[in-house]
Amino acid sequence: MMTTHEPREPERSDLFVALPAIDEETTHRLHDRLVREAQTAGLLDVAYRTIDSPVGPLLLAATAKGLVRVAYGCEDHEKVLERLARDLSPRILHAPARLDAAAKEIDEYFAGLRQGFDLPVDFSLARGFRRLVLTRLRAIGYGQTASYAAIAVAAGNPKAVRAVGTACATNPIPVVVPCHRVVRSDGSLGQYVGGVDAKKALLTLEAAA
Amino acid sequence: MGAELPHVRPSRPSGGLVGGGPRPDIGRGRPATRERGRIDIGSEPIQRVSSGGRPLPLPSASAEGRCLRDDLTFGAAGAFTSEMSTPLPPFEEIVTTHGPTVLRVCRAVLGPMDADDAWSETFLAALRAYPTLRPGSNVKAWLVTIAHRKAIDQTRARARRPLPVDPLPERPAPSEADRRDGDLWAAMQALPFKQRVAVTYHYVAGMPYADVAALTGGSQDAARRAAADGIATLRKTYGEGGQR
Repeated sequence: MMTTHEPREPERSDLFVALPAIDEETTHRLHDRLVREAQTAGLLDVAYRTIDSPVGPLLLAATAKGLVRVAYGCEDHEKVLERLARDLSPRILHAPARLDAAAKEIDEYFAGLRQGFDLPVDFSLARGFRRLVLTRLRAIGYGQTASYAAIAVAAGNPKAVRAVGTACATNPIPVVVPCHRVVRSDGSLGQYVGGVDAKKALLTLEAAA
Repeated sequence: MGAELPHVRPSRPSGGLVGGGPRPDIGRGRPATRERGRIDIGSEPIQRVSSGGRPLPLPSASAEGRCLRDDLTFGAAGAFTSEMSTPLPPFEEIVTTHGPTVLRVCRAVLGPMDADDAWSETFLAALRAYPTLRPGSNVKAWLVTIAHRKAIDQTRARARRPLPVDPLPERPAPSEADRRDGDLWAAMQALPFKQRVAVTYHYVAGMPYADVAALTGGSQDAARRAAADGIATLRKTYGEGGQR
């Protein structure tokens, strides 16, 4: 049974080596069909796409419930997708259509044409107190800011200033859930998931309106 | 150790086929529950359809077809239930990495006309079962296994329906590259099923004969012989290795 020598077989048959790569049109057609059928079968747990923005490329991801993740380029989109696979579901496909509405509203926001988002969101990636903090952030209006301490009070735990900072730093849906509007009590900006420059850019954009 | 019966594969595939990654947990856990032959089902019909060029119609194909569902084989049956220590990559990555190979496999086994349907069914079934795939598995072999079953389903279905006189009009027109491959795929279609799949899995999918044999049933030598016979015929029918 254990043959140590491979009997004279045509190695890597030349009949097949030169087959051309599958062309792009075919690849797209099949991918589109897979997305469509996955959606119909309820198997598309997470859809994603990327968009360009003044603060760099943004990854948008949505479950059937709504927008679940917005990620800055500095977060490394590939890693973000890997974590989504681990934390939510590995049934993830590049499926821009589910994110059309989100992409449109975010575009409008950056163009200064929109002050609030009218999108279903899915807070599955945030738990407990962090999640509570995120739900409070929507009360800070466009062009306004609030201190970490004030949000701690609003979340019912005035001592949890640091935890509010953590909740903002780990906000899975930045831009749409406006953690950029939370600043230090002394007026300095504080940290931001997308980097301080991005935070500055968003606040400047909103102040200009 | 565990003597392998000729036609019953162990419930936890051991060879390179699936779950063969170098995982420390591979030897423990799963009790030796056989899956009531489910894994074996895929290879069975081949013997029945191998009697010549065209497959024979199979009477109870529709009822049996249900048993071939990959989500059962790979999911609920538990052979690939993951322990989630190494997370699975996003499925998009699986499609990007292995989509082209699986399409070539589908074209080689079924011909270009039915390949799109088989590819789509394969990846939809794979997506369904994916969360239960053991991380570190040989994903290509897993996908080819699913595609193999889809090919068997389609081959049976084809045998039941009358051959179309003309190519179906609503199919997308083949691209230039597809047309150039057409001759080779047509020559492939003329091979007996067993040779065709052996050639495809070894030469197109690049699987070692041990994995090919695990998938098609029979011995490794038989798989090698089937592939060699197929290649010999192809050299005559498609051209003396010429063409390209």
